[in-house]
Amino acid sequence: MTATQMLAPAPTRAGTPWPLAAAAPVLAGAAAVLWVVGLRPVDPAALDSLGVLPALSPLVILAYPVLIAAVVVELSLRQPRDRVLAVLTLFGVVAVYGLLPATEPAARMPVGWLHAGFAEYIAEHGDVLPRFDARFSWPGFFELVAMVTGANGYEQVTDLLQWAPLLLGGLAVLGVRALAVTVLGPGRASWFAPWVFLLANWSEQEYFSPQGTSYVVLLAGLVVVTRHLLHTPLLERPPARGFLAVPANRLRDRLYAQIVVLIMIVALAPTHQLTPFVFAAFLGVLWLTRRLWPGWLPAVALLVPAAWFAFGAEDFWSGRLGNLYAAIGDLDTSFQRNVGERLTGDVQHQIVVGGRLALTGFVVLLTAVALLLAHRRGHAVPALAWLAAVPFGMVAIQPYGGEILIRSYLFALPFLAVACGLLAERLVRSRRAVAIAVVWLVLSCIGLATVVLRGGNDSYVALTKDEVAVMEQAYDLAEPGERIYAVFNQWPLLSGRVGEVKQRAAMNHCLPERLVLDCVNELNPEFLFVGPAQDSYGQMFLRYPAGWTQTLVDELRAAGRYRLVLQQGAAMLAVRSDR
Amino acid sequence: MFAGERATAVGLLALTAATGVVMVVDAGIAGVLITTAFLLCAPGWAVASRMRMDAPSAVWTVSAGIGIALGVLVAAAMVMADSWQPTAAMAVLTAATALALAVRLR
Repeated sequence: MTATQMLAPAPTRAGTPWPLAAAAPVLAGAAAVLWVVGLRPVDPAALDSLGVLPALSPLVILAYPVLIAAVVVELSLRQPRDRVLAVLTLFGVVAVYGLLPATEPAARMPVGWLHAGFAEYIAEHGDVLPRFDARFSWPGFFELVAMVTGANGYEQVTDLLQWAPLLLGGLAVLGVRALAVTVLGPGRASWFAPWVFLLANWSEQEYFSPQGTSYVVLLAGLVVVTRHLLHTPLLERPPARGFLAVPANRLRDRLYAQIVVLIMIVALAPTHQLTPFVFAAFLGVLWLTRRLWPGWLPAVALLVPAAWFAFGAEDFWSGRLGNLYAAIGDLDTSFQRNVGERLTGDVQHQIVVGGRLALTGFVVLLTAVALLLAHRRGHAVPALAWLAAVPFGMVAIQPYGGEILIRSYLFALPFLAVACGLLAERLVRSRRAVAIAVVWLVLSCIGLATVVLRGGNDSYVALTKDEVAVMEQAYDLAEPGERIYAVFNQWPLLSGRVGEVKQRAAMNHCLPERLVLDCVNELNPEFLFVGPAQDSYGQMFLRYPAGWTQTLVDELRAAGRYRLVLQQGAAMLAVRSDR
Repeated sequence: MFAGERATAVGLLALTAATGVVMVVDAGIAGVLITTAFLLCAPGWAVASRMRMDAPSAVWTVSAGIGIALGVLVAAAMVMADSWQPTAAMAVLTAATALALAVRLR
């Protein structure tokens, strides 16, 4: 019996008693009622540093443990039903990734608005804008969106932002389920894995973004590789030495698989800075642990994105190669940017960041326990352990603007989830009530933490309809070459008129200790945009008083330098008086 | 080919046809959503369904991955060739997919 076969559910002779069979659907129905009834609009302008938590109804919060109870009960049955679990997982995806789109008035994450602006630029001009933004050096995602919208003659790319997390997050969960089935077989563990991924993914990278989209391709590539191109399954011991056998499948399957993976490698290269290199690292691990059959694949997976970096992304590295090299191995700086600088702001924000670090540590700890127990059961765990560990090696290569730890966790999470799936399966298979209750409790705690932590920054990453409307007005008013500035980056920056109207955050050009008023006066933009997201950001990170954006506009008006042309709620657009 | 696969192929052929239609008529955001669904499901499924992926989750994950990858490559090729024709590119992609699905149905 192979290790993978050992993980398959035990066959049953007797049917499941109807009360047990009905338990999961009934619990899921109750969770659905709680979630839907508890949904209520969230006003981002009213949020504080704890984010979305105080704005959520207790009914919504209660819905998650009830839904997780449904999943655990179903997986505790002698013969869990795939269709029931599929429906529960679909509901879980909606409940986690759909919560904020369903309750907040406009698409969150200002960077997503910028991505929409880039796609609109390509749709209009059929080209990227050279020397404008590093992200244009990896334009694949923007070009894809531009092609889809352009083919339909549709210009409002921003309409796609709000629900993009549901689609991309859902595809990622599907991908983790597929990976888990390929690695663990179709049993309970491969259902627990996507749930661990869903409940522990606080990274919020599934918004309208190159990373969210390329992540789906990465998972698909991993599924193809683990299904067709490994001669030894991931959890089995490879031959100690000698030639590696050909995978036990058809020549046609291996040929198709290699072509498909090659297409994905080539497509990933111009789409995202990190993802193709992480894919190459995963393939390298599989080759080094003597599992991957085509030895050329890791080399090609590394060379193609390296070639794109050298020739296609010259705008990005030109003039800053020294900085990029200097960052390699500089763990102090990387740690400072990824942990130290993130543990700033007021106490409540530090609780949110600390919670994310603690959750990451907890999932890593669970994985270590899972791998240890799997090792004791006779599984060969080094390959899985290395796959889960290797993304964290990126911390030693680049701080990535203080985001590398978040990205490392995201890339490691499918393998962390697969390992945790093994652990949960072992506990549930014991059929002891205490063990099953522990699985429910741990998953519920992780899930609730993630729901809260995902919305932890929403006082400054969620936008109001007023901010969007005022920004649209600014685009209508500005002449080509004029400047629309905000104080901080928390606004629908570059969501339109990219390359035509200059749009920046003023404080990116001034020292942090500089007074905002002086900074704006010195830069002297034609338009100044302020809104509640910027107000919250200033309060949280720089201890500005509440309402400082209103005070700023009042002072600029009193000095006769600017006049207020539009105010909707707390969102304001001021125009320079001499314009 | 299993009955389920045949039904899926027929459904995706219908989705491909709908994608062709919305490129001609002005369907607004619905057209974008249909085209996105097509891209995520149809071209990739035509390939993935030939690869013995066992689990439905694997088939649809690989379908989405192939669809995104093909879309990126086609769009990037147009930009690099300085020949931006999104409607023509999508028309070629839908025609090629329809052909692959029709062959699958034979």
